[in-house]
Amino acid sequence: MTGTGTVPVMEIRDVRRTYRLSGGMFGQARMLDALAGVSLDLRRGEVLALVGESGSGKSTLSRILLGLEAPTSGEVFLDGMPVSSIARRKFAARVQPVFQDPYSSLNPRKTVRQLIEMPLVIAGGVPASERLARVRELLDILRMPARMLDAYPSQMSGGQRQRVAIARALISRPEIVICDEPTSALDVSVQAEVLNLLMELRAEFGLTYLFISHDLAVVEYIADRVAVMQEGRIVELDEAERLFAGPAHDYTRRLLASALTVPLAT
Amino acid sequence: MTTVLSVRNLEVSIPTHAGPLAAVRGVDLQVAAGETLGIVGESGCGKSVTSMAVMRLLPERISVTADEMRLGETDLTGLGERQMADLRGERMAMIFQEPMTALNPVLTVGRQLTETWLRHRRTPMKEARERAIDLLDRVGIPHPRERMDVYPHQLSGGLRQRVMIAMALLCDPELIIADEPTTALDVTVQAQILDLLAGLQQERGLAMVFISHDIGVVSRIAHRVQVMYGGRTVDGGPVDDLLRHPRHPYTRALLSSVPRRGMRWGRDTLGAIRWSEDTDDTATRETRP
Ligand SMILES: Nc1ncnc2c1ncn2[C@@H]1O[C@H](COP(=O)(O)OP(=O)(O)OP(=O)(O)O)[C@@H](O)[C@H]1O
Ligand SMILES: Nc1ncnc2c1ncn2[C@@H]1O[C@H](COP(=O)(O)OP(=O)(O)OP(=O)(O)O)[C@@H](O)[C@H]1O
Ligand SMILES: [Mg+2]
Ligand SMILES: [Mg+2]
Repeated sequence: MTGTGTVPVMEIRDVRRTYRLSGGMFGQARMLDALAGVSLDLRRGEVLALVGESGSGKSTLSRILLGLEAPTSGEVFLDGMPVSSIARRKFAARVQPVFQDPYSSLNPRKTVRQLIEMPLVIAGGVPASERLARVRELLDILRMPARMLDAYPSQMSGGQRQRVAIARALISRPEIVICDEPTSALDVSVQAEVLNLLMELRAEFGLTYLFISHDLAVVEYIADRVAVMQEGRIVELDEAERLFAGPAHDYTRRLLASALTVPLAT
Repeated sequence: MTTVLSVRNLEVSIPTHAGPLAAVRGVDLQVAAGETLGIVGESGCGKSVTSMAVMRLLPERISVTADEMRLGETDLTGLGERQMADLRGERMAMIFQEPMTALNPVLTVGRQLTETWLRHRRTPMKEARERAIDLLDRVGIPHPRERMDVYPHQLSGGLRQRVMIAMALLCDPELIIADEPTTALDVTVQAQILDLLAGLQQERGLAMVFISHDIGVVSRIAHRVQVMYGGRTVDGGPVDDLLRHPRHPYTRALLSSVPRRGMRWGRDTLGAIRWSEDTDDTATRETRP
């Protein structure tokens, strides 16, 4: 047993998000329901995986959880407090993101070192020498050569950029990490390393993860519970082992059926 | 079979403050019409730099040399900047690892697609739009006509990736270099894209270089695979062969890191390749006096 509690650390209550798409030639607006009423608990110490169709609202939900975007209606709570009422800096010390697209989420004019230590600088109180030591330690764990310290995002490979985003999320030792496809740009070996690291950190510091991924083998490897989204709704939510053994929803079944398997020698 | 892409002894050297980094060290690529060459290898081994070198999209300060670089009958090494720009998007196209590198954030999807088309084809705007909408539809984007009017940031990661795939296929190129083209896609859409690409190969003889760390995807689409490590090709062969009988220890290690359905953390161990600063830095060290 993983020792996961059932106490919700974050709660999402009937969250809706509607986008206004600027209309075509005549300027009439078309509305798009990216989230059509989602309720979900994130329990302390668990890995909750969010899978589902492209465009089903996973990234939108993660941005709302992070307080980066306001829901059209509904509310998100952190330890019972509405996220909208918590000071930005306090919230950031506890909840950190890893975004889906590291290219647009990393400031191109900052070096690797500056990017990774940013959350510590914002939180304040950590001397520069210790910040550097922690940056080095994380680079090492993430198998990034030390020469990368002074590199800029444009000088890195896709997987290296992704690892910078992961290091930045972990450096301040937050309680909750919201990961949007954190390993999809990584080769399998680094992916294995990152997944193992995330799980070890959880064991050590009791971290909680919301983990968005379309890789079902990855989800099965780490998730305690899995939520399946389709068209702005959660259509299935269950313990990982139960869901993989017997998916209830039609879309989940299709998802499991189209996963590619590798014909490997054993 | 006619060879579409032929590259011999490609070398790419990137100046860095720590001295030149030999990012690609003598790579050969041969792809015939209707064929897919898969490239796998760890992060930072030179896959993207290889593709950018072939497309001639690297900044000028980066030195690229090759004994041969041909697209069909065309010798790419002899072409000027202008002529290369004419080929790109028309005869050879690239699907980038990160969609936002290729998409312009301030132009609508429709504008970007039609401009790409009109740059290479003299047709009325109406035809350009119809072609664009048709491709958005074929890459599985719902409501393609309405998506023409949205900006990239209004699209989800997977939709953006599909817009980029549509853009690459727009002018019916002979060669596509796809760099992690399906990473942001859920498996059902991924299957649809792979079918679309395979269909185009049969129908139009499209040649493809397919870079991916997802060995499941590579094993499904590629005919041959090259394994890269530290800027070199270290293993290769027909895809089934390579997966079942990996020769190089690195290939074996890579395969042991692939998570498989049914594995659970705490019960099963996902192996990671052990790493030391040495192996990663050989590229820089060897080029320094
Ligand atoms: N800023 C925005 N303006 C308009 N529409 C948006 C905006 N952001 C997202 N959308 C739309 O909302 C829907 C949900 O998008 P979201 O990014 O949450 O999907 P996702 O589940 O993360 O998909 P993917 O797996 O492709 O990343 C999509 O149709 C998307 O195009
Ligand atoms: N503009 C640049 N300046 C300096 N170094 C660079 C530059 N571009 C790439 N590199 C380095 O060259 C090496 C090869 O990078 P490349 O992007 O080809 O890797 P990759 O195999 O595509 O990796 P990934 O799977 O992570 O995308 C990396 O070590 C990277 O840091
Ligand atoms: Mg997303
Ligand atoms: Mg790359």
